[in-house]
Amino acid sequence: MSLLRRIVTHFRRGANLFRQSSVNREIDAELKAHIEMRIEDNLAAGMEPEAARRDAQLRFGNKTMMRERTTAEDTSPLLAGIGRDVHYALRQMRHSPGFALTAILTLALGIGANVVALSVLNDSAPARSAAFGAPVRGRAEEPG
Amino acid sequence: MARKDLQGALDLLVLKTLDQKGKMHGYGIVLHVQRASGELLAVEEGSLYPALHRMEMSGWIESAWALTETGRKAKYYRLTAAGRKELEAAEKSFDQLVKGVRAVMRYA
Repeated sequence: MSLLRRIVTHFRRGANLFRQSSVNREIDAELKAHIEMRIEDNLAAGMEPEAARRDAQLRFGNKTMMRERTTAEDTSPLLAGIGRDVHYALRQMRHSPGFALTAILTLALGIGANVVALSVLNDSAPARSAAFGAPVRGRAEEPG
Repeated sequence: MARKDLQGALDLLVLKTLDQKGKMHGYGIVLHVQRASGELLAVEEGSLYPALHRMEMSGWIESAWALTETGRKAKYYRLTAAGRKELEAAEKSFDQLVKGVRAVMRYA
């Protein structure tokens, strides 16, 4: 597969994140149509309605797992997880804006203070090292 | 490697079916492979849809909703130009696989 095609594939998966629920709905509809067609054929072959339905379901094996694998092909589970986390964070912030504001201000002040303190220290660092003269002299003598 | 070959075999069956039959829904592909193989092969329905969606994402096939003969809505797939190229490559590599396995079986 060419590189361009691979990029297009990832782009498609990424784009599907924004319509995840409609992707899921479409997969459900697709699987439902499949099962119903199988049931119809089973009935036509002379199966009892209950047996016809069960056979159609059984052929899919673990349907939930299969559905998840199908969804995973259409989207990127990793990106979807990150997207959900970001959504969750934004929702929590909206839910308690006071707490969010306090946290943001604390972080901003903390980072700001650190930057100021360290850049002041850094500016004075050359002067400090000059005061030591030639630091090589401070080396320990080797034994023996 | 064996796993990849088996997945490759499913891809090959699906691509070939769509190449022969034009557009088709998942259930139709299952029926066709069973019939065309003289009941020797059964496409596992649990593996079919992940494979179809993977191939659609890779651009080998494309899909559209349409009505079946019985008036039911179903998702139909068909081969794209890229899919046709992929099919050629898959047929070639499958022939190689069969030839190789045969040769080993006959080795004496």
